Amino acid sequence: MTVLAAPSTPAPAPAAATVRRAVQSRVEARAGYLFATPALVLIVTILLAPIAVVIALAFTDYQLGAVEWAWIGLGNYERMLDDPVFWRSLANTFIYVAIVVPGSVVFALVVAILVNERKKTRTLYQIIYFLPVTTTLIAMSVVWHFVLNPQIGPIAALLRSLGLPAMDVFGDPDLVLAGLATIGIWQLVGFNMVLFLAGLTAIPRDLYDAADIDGADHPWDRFVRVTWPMLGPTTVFVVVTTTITAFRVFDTVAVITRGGPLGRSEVLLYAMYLEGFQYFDIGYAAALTVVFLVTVVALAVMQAFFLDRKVHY
Amino acid sequence: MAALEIDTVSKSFGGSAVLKAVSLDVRDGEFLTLVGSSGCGKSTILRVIAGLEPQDAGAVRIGGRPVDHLRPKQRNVAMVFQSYALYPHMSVKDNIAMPLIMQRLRLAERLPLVGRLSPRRAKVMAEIDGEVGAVARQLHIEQLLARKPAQLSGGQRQRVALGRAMVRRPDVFLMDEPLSNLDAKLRVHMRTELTDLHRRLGVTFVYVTHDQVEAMTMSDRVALMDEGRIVQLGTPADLYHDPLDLRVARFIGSPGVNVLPGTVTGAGVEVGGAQLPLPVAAAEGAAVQVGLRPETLSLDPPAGRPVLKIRLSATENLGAEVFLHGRADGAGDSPIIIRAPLDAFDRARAAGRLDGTVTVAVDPARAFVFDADGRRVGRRPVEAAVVRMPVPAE
Repeated sequence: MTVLAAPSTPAPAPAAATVRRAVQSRVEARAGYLFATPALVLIVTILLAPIAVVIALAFTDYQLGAVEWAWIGLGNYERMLDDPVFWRSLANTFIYVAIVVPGSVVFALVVAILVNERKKTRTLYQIIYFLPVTTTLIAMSVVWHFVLNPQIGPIAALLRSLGLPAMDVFGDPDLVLAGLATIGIWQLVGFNMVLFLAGLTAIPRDLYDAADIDGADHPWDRFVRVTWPMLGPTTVFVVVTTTITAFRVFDTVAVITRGGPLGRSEVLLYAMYLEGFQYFDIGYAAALTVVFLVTVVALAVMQAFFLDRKVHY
Repeated sequence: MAALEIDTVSKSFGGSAVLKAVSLDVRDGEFLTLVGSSGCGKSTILRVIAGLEPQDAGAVRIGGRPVDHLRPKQRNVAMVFQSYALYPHMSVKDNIAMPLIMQRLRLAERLPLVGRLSPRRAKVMAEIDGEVGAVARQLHIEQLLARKPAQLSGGQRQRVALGRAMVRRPDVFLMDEPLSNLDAKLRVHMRTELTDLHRRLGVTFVYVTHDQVEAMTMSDRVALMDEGRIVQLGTPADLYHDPLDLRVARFIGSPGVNVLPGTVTGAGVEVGGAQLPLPVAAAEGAAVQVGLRPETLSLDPPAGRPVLKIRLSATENLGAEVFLHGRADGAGDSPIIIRAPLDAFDRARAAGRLDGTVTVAVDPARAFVFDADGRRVGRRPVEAAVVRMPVPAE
């Protein structure tokens, strides 16, 4: 307000205006909550409530179809500590993740850089590498089972014709996880490649031109000084999504190995499935799910608060 | 420091010719500007000089030495990009040091850990640090050396890009619209800084811009390009006062040149009823286009000079001068702008000569006549043109 205007304004008016403004902002706030309600309801019923139910179930001895159940506190978690199947599943899952994540990320990055340099055949290669992503892993597991079959599979036939012993990948306790991880990598490379391609396209051409003029024109220098740092955010995203996907390995185990041989391919999700839907021990399965959830959430948090900060410049 | 020769260079992209046998000699230590609208090929020339884009035909020589077979880093040119193209993950210091590191350290010495094993690495890095510091001081950015480009303002990024170019002491400085990402005020300031830098370094500058003001104010010589050819090469004053082509007359100067339709007569050129006694190398009765710079139209009484009648539509008072917009009676009703000093405007108004229409005097010596294809016909001697008006603030 200007000084000149002040005397001509009646004294009560500003007060009335303030009241009116306060009422209005309260109305606006209420309307705001009203508009947000549908989304809030959806988030609670679809996402938060089921998680809360799982967490609650993990404290019970509920069996599927049982009439009576009781709170057993941390009973399920105590049982877990003494359960060799849980520890084996956890270890196997981590080994699987430790193979699949570096394998599929590095392989996808190499493929993406090679495909990115193609001009005419780029789309063709993109489609070929993306095909495994579009297929049903259950169906492809059957195919892989056949391909790697020691008696009738083409790989075994090839090895035999070279005079080598046929490998029984899914029957050999030392090979089974590596075999499953190979299928995991095969399925993930295409998806990760597409993400890396998007990241590569977003790197400004000027930077490569500047690098050429500055003398960083050796392919190694271009990669280390421009491509790799500029792909930082993409890489973090790819690593985190791949890790979460790898943690969820289930289809191939369920179809091909069923945890065998000798429990060497038992993984977390498969153990969960057995406890919940084969032995109907819902309480224990819920506790396993909570462990799984905590691991995955920890990864996501790590991305948001730690890694992301290092790669955004 | 070196002269630069571009010898009948051609370049096509997928069937469309971007450069059509362009030849250009840039003198040692000269500030040469390539100006033109977008798509005229000016940036492509720069990229050919730098070696980023191989030409289809022709040769480029730097300091008399052919460089066509050399890679960009071997040509000893530096380039400042419109986007600055700073490495976003590196500090200002590392950005500036980059060309020197790549020049002086071997591949193995540049590796993260292995590199430290080299006994000479520490010594070389100390030298580089010293040179980077010296360049940073010259550009007044020594307090920014530890920052990342994202933490800098546009003007500061610009200086870092300049520093990265200066540190290697190039033979030729190439600049691709370096000021177009800055706000108007900073752009004006950086213009003087760049010309200052050019004077201090004494290096050959090739500067690309679409802004005719930058071209006029900074350059020793300007090459105006259109459709892959150099239309005219000359000093800023040449291009302003003696354009050889209608495209040059239109591109240079703000507000733009007035273009009126005229006819060749026995005595010269007739435009909007005014007889301009100009010797024109064209057949009588031929249609021509007459270019009149806005400041050559005088509001003062004609004193025997040919006159144009103009219906006024708007007046813009800029303080020291006034722009009068209107249409020329009898000359195809063409839009026309008059640029008058404030005192002349006041005199005309006091004398009652601005009543919706105005009669302006034309100076035939300062009119340009172009044929139907836009080529200049009836050209005056160059000296007369240059003497006429001072060069706009060089």
